[in-house]
Amino acid sequence: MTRIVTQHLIVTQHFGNEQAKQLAVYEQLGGYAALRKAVSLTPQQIIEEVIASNLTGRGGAGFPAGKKWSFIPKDAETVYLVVNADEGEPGTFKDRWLMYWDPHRLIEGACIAAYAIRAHRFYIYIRGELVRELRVLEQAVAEAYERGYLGPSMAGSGWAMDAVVHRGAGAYICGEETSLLNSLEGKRGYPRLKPPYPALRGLFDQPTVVNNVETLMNVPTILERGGHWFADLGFPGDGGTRAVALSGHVKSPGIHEVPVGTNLRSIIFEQGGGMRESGKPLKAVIPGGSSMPILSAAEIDVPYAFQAMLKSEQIREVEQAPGIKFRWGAGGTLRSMPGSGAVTVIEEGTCMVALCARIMRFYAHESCGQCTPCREGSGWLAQVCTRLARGAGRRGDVDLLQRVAGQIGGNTICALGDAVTWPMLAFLTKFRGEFEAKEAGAAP
Amino acid sequence: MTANKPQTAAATTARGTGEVVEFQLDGRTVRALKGQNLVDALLEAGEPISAFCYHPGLSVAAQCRQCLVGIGDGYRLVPACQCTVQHGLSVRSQTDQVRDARRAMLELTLLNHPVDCVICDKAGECALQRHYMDWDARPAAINHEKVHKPKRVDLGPNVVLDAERCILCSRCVRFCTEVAQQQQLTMAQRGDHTVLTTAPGQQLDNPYALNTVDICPVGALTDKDFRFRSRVWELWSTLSVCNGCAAGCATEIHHKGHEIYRLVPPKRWDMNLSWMCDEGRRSYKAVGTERLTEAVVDGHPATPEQGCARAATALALLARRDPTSLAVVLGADATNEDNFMAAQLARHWVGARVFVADRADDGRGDTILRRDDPNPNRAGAQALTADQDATTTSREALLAALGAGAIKGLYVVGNASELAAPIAAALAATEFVLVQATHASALTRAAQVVLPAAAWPEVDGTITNERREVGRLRAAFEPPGQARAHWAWIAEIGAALGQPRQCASAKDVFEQLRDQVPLFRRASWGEERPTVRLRWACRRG
Ligand SMILES: Cc1cc2nc3c(=O)[nH]c(=O)nc-3n(C[C@H](O)[C@H](O)[C@H](O)COP(=O)(O)O)c2cc1C
Ligand code: SF4
Ligand code: SF4
Ligand code: SF4
Repeated sequence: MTRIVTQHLIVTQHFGNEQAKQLAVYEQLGGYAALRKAVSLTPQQIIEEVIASNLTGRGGAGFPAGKKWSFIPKDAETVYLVVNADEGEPGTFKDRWLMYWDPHRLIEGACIAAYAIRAHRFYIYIRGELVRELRVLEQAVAEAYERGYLGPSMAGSGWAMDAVVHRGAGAYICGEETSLLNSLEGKRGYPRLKPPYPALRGLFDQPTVVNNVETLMNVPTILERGGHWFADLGFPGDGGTRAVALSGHVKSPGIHEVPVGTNLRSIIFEQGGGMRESGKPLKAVIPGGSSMPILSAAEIDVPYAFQAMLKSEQIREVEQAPGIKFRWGAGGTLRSMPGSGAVTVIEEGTCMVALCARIMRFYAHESCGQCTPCREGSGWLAQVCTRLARGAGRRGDVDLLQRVAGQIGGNTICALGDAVTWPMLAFLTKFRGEFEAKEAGAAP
Repeated sequence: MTANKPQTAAATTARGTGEVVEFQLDGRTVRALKGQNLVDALLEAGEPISAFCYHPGLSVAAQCRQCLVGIGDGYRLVPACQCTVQHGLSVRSQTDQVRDARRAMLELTLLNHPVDCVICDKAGECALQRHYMDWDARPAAINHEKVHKPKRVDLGPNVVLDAERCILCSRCVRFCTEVAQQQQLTMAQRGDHTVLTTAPGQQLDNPYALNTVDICPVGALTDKDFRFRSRVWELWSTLSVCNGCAAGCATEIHHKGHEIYRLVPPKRWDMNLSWMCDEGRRSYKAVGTERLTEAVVDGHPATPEQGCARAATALALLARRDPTSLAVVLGADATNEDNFMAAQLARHWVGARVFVADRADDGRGDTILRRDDPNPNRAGAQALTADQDATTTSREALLAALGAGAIKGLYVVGNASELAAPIAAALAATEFVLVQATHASALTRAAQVVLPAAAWPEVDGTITNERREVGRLRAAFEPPGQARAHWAWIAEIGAALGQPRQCASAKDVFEQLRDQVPLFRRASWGEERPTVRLRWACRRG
């Protein structure tokens, strides 16, 4: 893996250093200093620092981390932190590497976050398939206990802190935070109705914060270098860096940590070294995991940051039908987002119908089946998309896709419904011609 | 005593707090209870809103998304079942956005449904069929193979599942967990391959399991006893009260001809919610089998007139000799009207002693509905003998008096069930026995006169449950053969004894009873609810 070294590596700074996962080495490299500093601060001071850092969630939704922590009721008796290490969004493979190279940074970040919300215990819910990372993490947790960073008196502070590593059982939906909580409680991994949100009633009905692995791994650095430093490193309202998981038809796939707001084109053509040797030009980019609206080659001169991509005029608004803008949430239009930080590069010559069908089959397979629109709609889209891609489509299929896709997102219990609607409508908005060509060759 | 009012948290939210507030529905002002579930409030306001997964007796799952509404000016729609009524709430239900979304949800619910209404037991009372007629009524847009699932899954002793018909609303799962308190059902697999199934090592086998069949909005769950026996629209429905135990659950008798097909609970917030126990549901079976239909006098079939005449003669003779040697036994299984007439006869017409035949507590009560007391009307019978020391009317007192040879004439109103044999064995000194019963027993075989009685689904009348609530029985159909209500036989015998007829109907008897017995002073005969055809019974709840 060739990496362009920057001054601002945070979460990937120990990549390539096999020793850094040992506690002693991690300490020599400055590790756990932030935790020792944290316990000399009040929880409120930590939350304020993280709010000042503009750290946003790296799990997909980009919710400001400090703000999420501040929702925990101050008088709550039992509070939990849950680390979401279930990483399952297609294209996304950063958390597994982050945990593999730097497990102590995650433990340190989680300890600080847990302390900030007055929790005495955090759970790491790790995707079941990540066996190697599980071993690394368990080893690191054992070391941290031995060294007194975990246990009855975290870093000598008198504050008890326990960590539990829990393996998932192989369902993508268990990455959705409330489904994860049910799974952690030993229940079927069904997302919960919201409200109540986890900050009020989460794990075992107690106030709970769920954060992504990468989100928490930024926390030690924020405490060391200050929230403002972190905020300045990134983009307005969106601080720090992102560990971009770059994949697809690109020369240097892998994890590239870049400041938030780095131009997406430069992520692909500089960090990623441009298109692979096939010589085919860029056709499209999925900018944030397969649930995020796809971008055409002409739409990638945008800062890689939530607010920027949501508003950039560069990116065409997703349409519900030709000429009719799709509306979501409070009724705004949709462009795209950096999501989970997975950038999938697609070269000219790729069949967009087949690619879309593959994505639809994934969500149909992973829909938990709880609510009707997602359960039935995802399967329907997968069926129709797949037959179109195989040249067995029927007249009216493109309109059918459009109509069905528009009925799912926004009407479901969890955001997996949006993860079906958004890509489907975005593919149709930007590559409708290819779908129509497939339909034109179809039987009546 | 509130134990037999199932007060789940869900039921309480569904009903709200009692404070009336106003909210806006598509611009008009609607009054509802604060805190009430919005689905119920909308239904009560006459809004044709539909829901599959919401049930007022269960927790909110918001899975079917069929009850989407707009709240305030928000763009995003929310399921009404996730909202409760608050003062000033503004709800949109009839805008294009809302209607289109609901139509879409219905289409998706139907997507993999087999739509085999023609051979489905639920047809005619199916919520999905009904909503389709109301909302969509278009041909299906699906043109690929539907997902296939198991068709005849034996879930337990009473219930069969057709997994293809199941719309995965989870009502049955929630019922088992929340009401029956047994985690016997669960979902397995994911996406559109999700299936309802029994939990590992479990069957759908609990005393309330058949409620899942009622609340299943479609024909996925069927009752082994009822399936394929009748189309529901051929049935008639009569509102009555279950006679299975002292809980006195409100029940609908579903019948055709002179045959009962099933007992199902109506929605009664003040009573059994929408539940019945399985045993109570099956109690109808005894009504149709091996009934006494003819009067019997001295071992020979007789006309009703002959029976009454023979009874009157014997009673008059014994009364003249020594009224205290006569005993009249009220039944804890008979109606208040029956027992009132029997007490009338005993006290005012012949001067006999009064006892009450009841069944002993069976200890099978629970905290859900069922009571330990298996007598539907013990409280009523006791109320009629409240002027006497209970120990002088008890079963023990009766058997002791018989054993002592003090009873020469015995008149038993009701089956006396488990007491029939001990009484029959203690008749050595008794010269004359008159029994009014629905079924033969050792006692009827020992009796000089047996008069066939109408069973509870065949009579109008009242019974008093353990909480002293007076419930109303309504006759679903005529009793078989010569059988008639106990009170009517007693009136007939009274006429033969020379008493003037005062009551032409059970209601007349009830009015006398209400005027004369203090404990019934505030009781009500209840509204007249005619027997009706089952039409879109899904509206029942
Ligand atoms: C269907 C679905 C799958 C998700 N999977 C993951 C996941 O694998 N890892 C993750 O961190 N967040 C995942 N999320 C997002 C989480 O729900 C949650 O927003 C996140 O863990 C919060 O952490 P953050 O604020 O630090 O990003 C998923 C969300 C949805 C709707
Ligand atoms: S949207 Fe899909 S994944 Fe989420 S709860 Fe509904 S069925 Fe399950
Ligand atoms: S069997 Fe009936 S009640 Fe149970 S989930 Fe299926 S449709 Fe709902
Ligand atoms: S609890 Fe008693 S009254 Fe209610 S249904 Fe069961 S047997 Fe009948």
